[in-house]
Amino acid sequence: MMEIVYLLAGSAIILTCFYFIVAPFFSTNRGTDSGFEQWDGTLTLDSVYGAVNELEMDYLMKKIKEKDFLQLKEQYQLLAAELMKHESKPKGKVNPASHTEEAELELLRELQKLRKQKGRI
Amino acid sequence: MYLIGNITLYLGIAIAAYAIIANIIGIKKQNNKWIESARGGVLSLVFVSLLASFLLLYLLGSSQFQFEYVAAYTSLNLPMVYKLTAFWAGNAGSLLLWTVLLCIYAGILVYSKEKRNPLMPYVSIILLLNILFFFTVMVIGGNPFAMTEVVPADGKGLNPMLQHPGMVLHPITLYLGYVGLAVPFAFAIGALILKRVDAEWIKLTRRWTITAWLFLTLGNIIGGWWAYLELGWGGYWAWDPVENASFLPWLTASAFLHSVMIQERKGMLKTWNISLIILSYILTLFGTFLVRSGVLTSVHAFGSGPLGTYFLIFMAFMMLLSIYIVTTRYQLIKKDSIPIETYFSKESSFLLNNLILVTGAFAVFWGSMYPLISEAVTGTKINVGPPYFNSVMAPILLLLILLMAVCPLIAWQKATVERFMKNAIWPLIAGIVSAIILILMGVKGAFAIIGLASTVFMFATHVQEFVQGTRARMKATKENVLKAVYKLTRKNQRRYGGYIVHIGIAIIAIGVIASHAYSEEVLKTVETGENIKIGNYDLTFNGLTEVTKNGNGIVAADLEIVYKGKDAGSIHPEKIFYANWEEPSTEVAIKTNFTEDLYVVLSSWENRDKVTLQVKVNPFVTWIWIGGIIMVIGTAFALIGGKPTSTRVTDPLRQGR
Amino acid sequence: MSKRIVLAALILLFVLPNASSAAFTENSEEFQNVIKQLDMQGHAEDELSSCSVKQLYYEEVLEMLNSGMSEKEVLQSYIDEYGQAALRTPATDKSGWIAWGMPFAGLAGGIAIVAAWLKKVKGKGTNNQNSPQVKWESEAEKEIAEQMFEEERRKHF
Repeated sequence: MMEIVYLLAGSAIILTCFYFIVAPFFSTNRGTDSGFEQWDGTLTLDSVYGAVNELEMDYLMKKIKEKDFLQLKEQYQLLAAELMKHESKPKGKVNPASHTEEAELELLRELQKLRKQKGRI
Repeated sequence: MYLIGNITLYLGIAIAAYAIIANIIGIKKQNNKWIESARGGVLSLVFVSLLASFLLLYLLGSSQFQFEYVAAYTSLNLPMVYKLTAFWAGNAGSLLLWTVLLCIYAGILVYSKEKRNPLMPYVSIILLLNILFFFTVMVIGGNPFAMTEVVPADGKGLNPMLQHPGMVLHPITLYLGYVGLAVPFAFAIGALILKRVDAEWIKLTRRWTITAWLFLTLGNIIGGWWAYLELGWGGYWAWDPVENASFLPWLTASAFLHSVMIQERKGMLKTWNISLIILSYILTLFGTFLVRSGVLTSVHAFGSGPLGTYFLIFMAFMMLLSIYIVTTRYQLIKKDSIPIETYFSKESSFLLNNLILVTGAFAVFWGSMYPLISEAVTGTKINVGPPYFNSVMAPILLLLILLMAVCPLIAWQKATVERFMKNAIWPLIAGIVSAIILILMGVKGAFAIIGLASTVFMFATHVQEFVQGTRARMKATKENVLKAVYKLTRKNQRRYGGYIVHIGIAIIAIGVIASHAYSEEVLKTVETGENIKIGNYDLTFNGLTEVTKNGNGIVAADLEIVYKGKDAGSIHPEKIFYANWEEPSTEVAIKTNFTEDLYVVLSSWENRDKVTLQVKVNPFVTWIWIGGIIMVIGTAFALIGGKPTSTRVTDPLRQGR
Repeated sequence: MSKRIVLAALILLFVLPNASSAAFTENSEEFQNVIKQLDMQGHAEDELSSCSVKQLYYEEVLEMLNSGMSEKEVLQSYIDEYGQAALRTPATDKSGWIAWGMPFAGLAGGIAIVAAWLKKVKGKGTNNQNSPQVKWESEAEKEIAEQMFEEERRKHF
């Protein structure tokens, strides 16, 4: 009697596993979806802020010289400015006319926006 | 029962093999259905391995002696908790434990939010290879569900030495660490195959690696704690080959945890990081091979058998596979790193750290292997025991402590020697002052004093880091002290978690150095009323008692302690004679205070009034356990909050954008 | 009378060294030194009271020391019997130099590799040192961007 119970239990286990394996082949959702977001190593504004903050901590903890700190900070600021430009581009409502002119315009707009934001805060 | 148990094992083999093939087909055909099917396979593996584990636990718990494993490691009168933890007391069970952990890890991975990552099928294949191997080994070499020919009335019982909370935790934590290292390994190999050798795989596995490292740390410390309390020779680390085998991946994984920071920030050391994680993983297999092969004598050995050979073959296979993949991808790994600016930089300090850790690993490996090598080459066996390791590792570990004292003071960018010196001066003075104080106190032993002073130096550096960091933050943000401390650590949990770990190491170092250099020992035969003097202790022997408890005979000596002239209670070292275990076991009696342990072993007796006692005073041993706890807290702290910080921002800067 | 004193002194002189050497116990420093180095067939780390091999060694060593052998002689007698495997470490003479030296050779090799590597990476670095300095397009832009940057940065501090 017990034998049969064990046999049944064993079969149940095998069937369960079989189900797990075979189910995907019969699932309705498309097989090739790729909800995966590609990881990219590109840098974000946040990481620039982080880097400068770390520098400032190092400077305040007297690990680096003031001169070096200010110099690096400026470089990072330039970098950040550039990044801001890039970041706003995809959102940009402007169609691509001429490249250089467009870039100039974009920059001015950016700056204006910055000023406004500043005023608000 | 037998049927179900074996079904789970054979199913494990079949499903693992299938899932590997399904993954390969999925990759080749770019067909997600196959990959999902393989994922289902992993789920099934989790299912069958859990089933097998619960089954074994049930068999152990209900004392089904018709099963070999149950009969060999448990007995009827064993407390339930040890009946269950006999799960990992023997070969077959510990293989099953490894397998089930591996399956669970694989399951968590393939169903994680990264499941659509193109890396995942490769990661899955590597882990499945491991799983396949373990299931196969269980079936051919260590089946936990094997039956006995004649059902015994009672089992042989569990070795009394293993009946200890330490033994409940030690194997499982260590295995969690061992198995955990397979995950970053699988990612590294996967990334290599896919030719994506940027820091992605490191970021994805950061938590896994730290978790594995945490468990390795924990496993080793619990192992030491158990040895100290249970083995009765008064030490916690014997440089036994198997202990070394668990220390090796710890060293290389520690090196890895540090060197990945350079890759994340600078894109350097890609090959090196991959090699380190491969090495760490291979070393976990190597450790298992040592435990199971019996090539080296050790208290940990499960005895000889063909299992060791299987592990050796698997290890060789994995090693060749890794080497093949690394060499074929080598050209891709190189390039696009950001050069360092000066020799004096954070990068150099990390390189030194890696150098020392890997040298340490090499020294330990060499020492553990030398008996085999010398026997193979010259035909004569030569022992390499603790005195060797102590003298070789002491300078290496001292260098490591000095590095830990120095490195946190170096800034990531634009570090200058002059600034560094200014920062190092106070910790250095703290170290020197502590050395002077020790000498004035009459402490002997130049090496120990150097070691202790260096540790104080290292400790002071870290304290200064916290203090200065808080101050800097208060200056920058005008926060109050508490908020500044909180924010400081919260903002950079990875770094400050690491610092906490370092502080833990400092405390352990003090314990290790002090207990090695300043322990005292007396072996003395005393009659009732006589006393033993050792250190600040004065012990008076009050006679022997004998009681029976749970069918075991317990002989205990009653000793009164006077500590520094004050009554400090009594202590009862015991010998326990078990009903169903041949050898009596020695229960050490330990009286712990903050700075020293009184460690008493009842060695032998002639009659009720005359006993031989082994008495030790081990200074600062408690600090090792406290340090261990601090390390765990620090690691956990780095683990929960620490997100990878400021990645490669220097890159565009350097390249002039 | 004086003869007797001389005689007594002589006897004392003869007896004293013997008396002191006969007083070796398990707690003597000499004994500890010897025991620490012996492998005792792999039982060195065992708990004394339950390990008969270790007990035997303890007795033998004590006996030998008390019979007047020096620490070195005791150790040597074991080496003669079992070879270098009698001890817990490889010999410190020529035969053991590989065992002792290898870790330090490893360290030296490692230092060499790290040094060479550092030099290589550093060499590349000097070329890049004077990477073109990027300049702001105008002072006004710089000022605005700077303030903006600082403010945003504070939020992340």
